[in-house]
Parts: sequence; C-alpha cells; structure tokens
Amino acid sequence: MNCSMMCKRFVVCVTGFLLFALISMEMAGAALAKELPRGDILIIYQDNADDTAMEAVNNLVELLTYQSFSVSYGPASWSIQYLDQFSYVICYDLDQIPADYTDRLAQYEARAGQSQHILFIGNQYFKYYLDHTNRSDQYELVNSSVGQLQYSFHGLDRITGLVRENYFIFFNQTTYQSGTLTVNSKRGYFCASNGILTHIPAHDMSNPLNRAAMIREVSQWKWPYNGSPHVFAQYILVDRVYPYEDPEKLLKVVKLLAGKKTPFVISVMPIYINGDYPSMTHFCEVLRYAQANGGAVIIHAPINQMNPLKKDVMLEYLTQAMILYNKQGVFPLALEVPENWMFQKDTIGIMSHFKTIFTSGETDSYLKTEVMGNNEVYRDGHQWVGASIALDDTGISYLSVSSSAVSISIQENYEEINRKIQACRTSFIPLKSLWDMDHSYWLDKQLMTYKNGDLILNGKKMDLSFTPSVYPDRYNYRRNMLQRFSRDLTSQSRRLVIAVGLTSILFLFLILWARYRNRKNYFFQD
Amino acid sequence: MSLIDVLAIYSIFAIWGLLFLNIVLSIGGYIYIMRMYRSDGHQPVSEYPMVTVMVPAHNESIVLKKTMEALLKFDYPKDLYEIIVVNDNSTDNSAQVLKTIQQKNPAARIIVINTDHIVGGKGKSNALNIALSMASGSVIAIYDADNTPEKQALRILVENLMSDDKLGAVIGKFRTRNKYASLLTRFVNIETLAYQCMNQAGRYFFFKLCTIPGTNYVIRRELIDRMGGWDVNALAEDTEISFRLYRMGYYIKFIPHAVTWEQEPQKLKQWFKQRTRWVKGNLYVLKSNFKYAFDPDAGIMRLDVIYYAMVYLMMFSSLIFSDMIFIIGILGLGHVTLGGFSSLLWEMAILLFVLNVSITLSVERNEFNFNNILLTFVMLFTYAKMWVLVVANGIIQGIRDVIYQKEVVWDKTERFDEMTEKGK
Repeated sequence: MNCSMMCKRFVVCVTGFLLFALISMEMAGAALAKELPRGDILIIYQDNADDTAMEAVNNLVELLTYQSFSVSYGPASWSIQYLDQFSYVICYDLDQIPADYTDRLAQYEARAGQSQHILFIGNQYFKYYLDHTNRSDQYELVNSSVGQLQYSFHGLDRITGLVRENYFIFFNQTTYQSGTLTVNSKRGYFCASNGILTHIPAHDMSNPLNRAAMIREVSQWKWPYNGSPHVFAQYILVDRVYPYEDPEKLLKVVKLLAGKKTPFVISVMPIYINGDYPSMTHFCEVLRYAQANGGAVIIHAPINQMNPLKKDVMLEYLTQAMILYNKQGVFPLALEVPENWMFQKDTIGIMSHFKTIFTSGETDSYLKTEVMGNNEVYRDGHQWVGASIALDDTGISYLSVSSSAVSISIQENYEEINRKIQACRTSFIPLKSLWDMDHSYWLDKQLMTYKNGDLILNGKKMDLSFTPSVYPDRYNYRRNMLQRFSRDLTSQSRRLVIAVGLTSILFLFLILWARYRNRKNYFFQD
Repeated sequence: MSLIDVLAIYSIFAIWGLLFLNIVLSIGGYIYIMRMYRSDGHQPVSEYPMVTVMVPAHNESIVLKKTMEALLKFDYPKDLYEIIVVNDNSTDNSAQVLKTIQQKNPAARIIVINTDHIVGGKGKSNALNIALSMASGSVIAIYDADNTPEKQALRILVENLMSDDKLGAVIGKFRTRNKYASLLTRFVNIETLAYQCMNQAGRYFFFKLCTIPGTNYVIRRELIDRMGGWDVNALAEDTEISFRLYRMGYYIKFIPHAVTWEQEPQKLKQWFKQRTRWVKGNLYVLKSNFKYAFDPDAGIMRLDVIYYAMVYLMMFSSLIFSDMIFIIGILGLGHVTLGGFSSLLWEMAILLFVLNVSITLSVERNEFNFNNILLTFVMLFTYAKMWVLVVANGIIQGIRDVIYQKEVVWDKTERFDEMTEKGK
C-alpha cells in the first residue's frame, strides 16, 4: 500500500466520521426540537456533556420544576436557535462552545429589554463572553481553585462550605449581590447581577450548600417583582414504611407528632396481596389513627424491577395496592416516586394519574432516563413536594422556594426521630399539612378527590375518623401445604441455627476426642 | 407461590433432611468405630472354615501381581484357603502373569480359570458364578483384582462371620491406595472414608444394616447357593446381593479392622465411567427392590431401599433444583420469594457438610489435616457437582437401555501402573 492510498483512506474515514457526527447531531437536535415548547427558562449546557454534567442539569431542571417553571434545556449548538423564544436563559457551566454562539448571545443581550435575563453559572464561558464583548475590564479573575462560600437563607443563619472551580471570576460593578465567596482573601459574591447579566461562579450541583443557594438565587432571579418569592412549606415525611414493620414503633412516632399537633405525612410501601392479614390490619389501624390525628398517608410507587418499565403493569400494581389500603380505611392522597421518574415518558404517564407528587432522594436504577429537551412533566400541573436539601444532620429544609419533605425513617432510634421533629418545629420554614390542600388521583378502578375537607372515593364520601379494628380470635390464613411449609421454615430458622450450632460444637468435641485417642494409640497399633 | 418457591422448599427440605440423616449416621458411625478400635477386631473361633478367595479379573495384568502377593500373605491358615482367579476373557498377559505366580508359589492353592469370549467376558457376576462352580470353601471371600488387603483382613472377617449364625456376610473397610495420584483420587479418598466407611458404620450401629461394597467381604457359601449365585443382570451385584441376604433373614456386619487398599480411577473419564456403572447398577437394584419398601415382611431391608431412593431420587433432584434456582437467580430470571429463605441456610449446610466429613477424617490416621479439610470444602462445589452429572448420565443411560432393550455391559475400569506409594 503506497502513501497516497493511505492518505486517501484516511481522508475518506475522517470525512465519513464527520458526516456521521453531523448527521447524529442534526438528528438529536431534530428530536429535541420537535418537542420544544416556549417555556419560562432555557438552560444551555455544553455540547457532548458527560453524565455528571447531565445529572447536574437534570437536577437543576428538577428543582425548577418544583417551583412550577416550564424549563427547556439542550446543548449549546442546538438551543442557540431558540434563544429569542425565551426571556430567561441560563448558561450552565459552558466551556467549549460553537463558533457563532457567542455572537448570537451578544446579539440577544444587545436586543434585550427589561424582560430578558441571562444567568451564567460557572466561570470559563462567562470570562470568554465578557472578553469577546470587550468587557475585560468589568471583571476580576482570581486564579485559585478553592473558595469559601458563606450563605444565609433566612437572614440569621449563615452556612459555610467550600466550593471548587478552575478559577473564579467576579464582576467589578454589581447592581445586586448575595452571599459571599472568599477566594485568596478576595471577598466576592455567590451571586451578582449587572444589568441583564447575572453570574453565579460556583456550578457544582453535587455540593448541597451550593445547590440550595443556587436554586434560591435562580428563584430570586426569576422573580419579576421586588422582594422575595412566595414561601413554600416543608412536610415531615415518615418515609418508606413497610407493612411488615413494627406497628407499635410507628404508633409511637405518630403519637409523638400528633401529641403536639404537628402535621406529618406517612409514605407507605405498596402491598398487593393478603391485605386482610392481622398484621396488615394492625398496621392500617395505626395509619387510620394517624389520618384522624393530623397525619396524611401517601403511597410510594411500586419498586421497579422491570427493564424496560411497563407502564400498564406498574399502574395495575398501584391500583391493587390502593384497593387494599382503601379497604382498610386508609386513603393515600399522593404518590411518592424516585426523582428520575421526571425524565421518562412512561413514568410521567404514571405520575399524571396523581395531582400531588412527592419525590424521594432515591433514583430508580432500572429506569433509563431520556434527554427530553423540556420538563414535560410540568404540563401535568402537579403539586410538587421534593426531598429537602439537607444542610445539617437534622435534614430540615432551608429552602422556601418550593415545597420540600424532611424524611424520617422509623428505623432510626426514637431520640433521633424526636430531635429531627423538634428541628422541624423550630425551623424558619413553616410546616404544613397535606389535608390543607386539594388532592386527586384516578386509577383503573379508583377515582379519589379531596377538596374542602371531603374525601370522595368513587363517588362516596369516606369517613376519616378513627375506628379501632376488630380482630378475629383465630384468623384463617388460607395457606396451602407449601405455604405452611414456608411459614414453618421461617419460624424454624432460629431453631435451625441453634441446632446447627449445637451440632457443630458436638462435632468439634468428637473430632478433638478422636484426635486425642488416635494420638494416644499411635505408637501401640499398626 | 411461584414454581421456583415450590422447588426451593422441596430442595431445602430434601437437602436438610438428608444432611441431618447423614449427621445422625456419622455420629452412630463414630461411636461404633471408636468402640471397635478398643479391640483388635479378632473373635475367638473353635475351628477355622475352608475359605475360597475369589478374584474376578479382566485385563488386570498391571495390578494382579501386587494383588496376588497380598492375598498370599494372609495370616489365615494356609491350608484352609484357596484362591480362585477368573481370568475373564482377558486380552492382555494376565494368563502369563498368573501362571508365573502359580509356579513361584507351589505350596499355595491357586486356581486360575481362563475363560474365552463365549463363556466369559460377561461381567463380574458371571465371573463370580464361574469361580463359585469350582470353589471348595464353605466361606467365600471376594476381592477385586486391584486390591491389596492387609494380612489380617481375611482372618478378622471370617472370625466375625463364624461368631454369629445370623450373619450372612461380613464386610471390611477399603481405602484408596493411590490417593496422592491426582486431585480426583484425593476426592475419592475422602468420599470413600465419609460415605462408604462412616456411613456403613452408622447404618450398622443403628439398624444392623450394611451394603456389601463389592470387595473385601466374606459370605457363607450355602447362602450363595440358595440364592442361585450372583445376578448376571445386575451391574451393582454387591448391592443386589445385600438386599437378597436381608430378605433371607440374615444381616451383614461391618468390621473396620479388616482393611483392603484399592486402586481408584485417576482420570476423570475412568471415574465417570465407573460411577455411571455404579449408578446404573444401584438404580437397577432400586427398581427391582422398591416394592419391598412398602412390604412389612421385608424387615429392616426396607430402610435401605428407602435410603437408596432418597439418595438417588431426592438428593439428586434437590441438587439439580437448587443449582437451577441459583443460576436463575444469578441471571436475574427469577427469585425465591419465600419468607425465611436465606443464604444462611446454604451456609449452614456447607458448614455441616465440612464438619460431617471432618469427623470421619478425624478417626483415621493421617487423614485429619488442613489439606483434606480444604479439599472437603472444594469438593462440595466440584466433586459433588460431578456426582450430579454422573447420576444424570446413569439415569439417561438406564432409560436408553430400557427403551432400546440393550444388554447389560460391564464397563471395565482401566487400571494404572503405580510407580510410588505414599501414605499407605
């Protein structure tokens, strides 16, 4: 093979690759563009963003969704064409950008009136943009990678943490400043505005303080009036309670909360069979007591073990679980889902059956999330309660820009639970009861609405007062022979362990005895 | 409750049931062996009977010399035992080897029967029947051609047989001569000790039940005659004859002092062939005798039939099912949803298995060491799994033989020339 032949092949390969990349990008853009509605906020992120960057963007979208913002998001080369459709643009941690992007953004800025706003999160692109628009004298660069962030959420508290960037940029002149970011003795801001440009130097969404402060600033940035946005409440959420857990422990926690008229929510795990077993009856009795004493019940989504997820199957499970709980006089008002359920069409479809959605901090590992281009889930008009961003060991919320839930596990010890509840009671963020809001859901055989204190299920008003359960003297478990074996196995496990332990000790003794005898007789027998 | 749950429950009950049965047998065996080791195994007899030592041999020239040397060294009265070797249609130089031995030992009563393919070559039972026709002893002793019994073995066996009229046969212990030859023979050595010796001892201790192991045993001549000789259709003639003895109202005794050392298959292929033959033979015996499991007149033998049925049906199927459940679980195709079902059950079963084998090793000299305990653990995941394959193969071949009405063929186990002997 001669040199020219090799060169030709190389050129063909490179051209092919570039064409493929271009077509892929166009196709991806086209797929995104089809669905792009004109929303409140456009988030522009790096082309070819890695998983960490996408996770941060999704997190940002999620937190903005809780504030009922319609958000569109996409890579720089795709979203630049839609710039003019948005009044609020966030450039999230941009680094390498398409050639005409900066000019396009500069034109957008130049044409902008009072209603247009650009928020830069991160430093690299912000510096480049200012340089490109001949404003190099309007910022100061601090060449250090660590900064100390201090932020106050309610005026009195001041929370400190470290943030990392390649370097930090600060406006010289600002019209608005919030928080402080001290880098190499240079006292900068966490967030500042100058004209229509707003800048947050720290971009790391995995840092809870940074995330909480950033989302508060974004909320403020988006607020069109003077003062601060509305204050949203927080909820005490006794999270992921399984029917087989100790009902007495749950009752103790319920009494602790109900005793001081503290509103709370219990998230129960779904159950699909044997809803009339005595243990389930006892569990639901505690839930009914909670319902009648200021506590509300929500249901956690069935644990997804399907790949791919089947929406109808999931809804069927959910219906079964709801029917079982309803039969026991327990009326879940809302659905709790993993946070990544927001980014997949089928799970959005499942959520659309419920008005009120709680999101937990967990993620559904079986779910393949999609890059949707916008927070489609926003259209369903849910009432959102997100997981609180924990900035201290109590886990209470410091953010009032959206509703949040402070999670408590009944697995924790009683003192710890009590401490968290006390922290919630004294928090700046008010506690709220789910009973003070309207709720509804519809499933295959269930239609529930809760409005003005009346809970209507399938056209009938439900009684929410507490009535103790009646237990039969001898419950028939309807177990077949194999199920009885299984039960025996469960009850015998402890005895089996003891039997094995005793047998092992006996064996060890016999082994030692045999060794002793063998050694003793070794020289006397052939 | 899913099918997996049903199979899991079945496997758990079957495996744990058999595990506890083996534990009980091991404890009984331990007590019996320790009690027996307090004496030298000899019994006083007023008069020693004439004994015919029968050795069926088919192409065994590699091992015959060593075997004959051991047989000639018995401390049994020389004029009261004869050795009949059936050189069963051999194509090697067995005849020459035997002739030389005869010439070198003119005082010994060695009878060599050379058979051709018309009379011989039809398996061990047929060879034994031929030898029986020439035997003059009132007691018959059987040794395989690869055995090197210890010199006192025959005398101990005969003395014990003569001590009780209700004894139909007395069996000794067999050990692995070539245990250091390969990893496989090490496994076989442990298996032999745990599941042949200790198990036999345990069954004898509790129920006076033993199964003739095919070699190193003595049996009353009159009983063999009454039975009409060995069943030529049985591949496991030893098990078959044990059942017949019990049905006749006699019992079999295990004496651990009467030891023979035998050569075990060194290669997997030979081992697989030998064990498949055993499985087929035992399944044949099980099939022929299963009716006695429910016959009150069959006496204590019913327990042995049930025991064999448990090993070959319950143990085999439960191991298959548990492995299937494990694989299905690994592949994420299904899970056991039973309450109380946990890996702890398997871990405890493994612990008990290792301890159960260790107790057997502990009563033997030079067998209780770290290597053997480690091997016991390893064999659970290797050798025991191969046993499942052997049984599966045996069942498939057995079914095939029935469908195609194939004649029973004796698959001869290939012998190896042993260069060195360690540990004996």
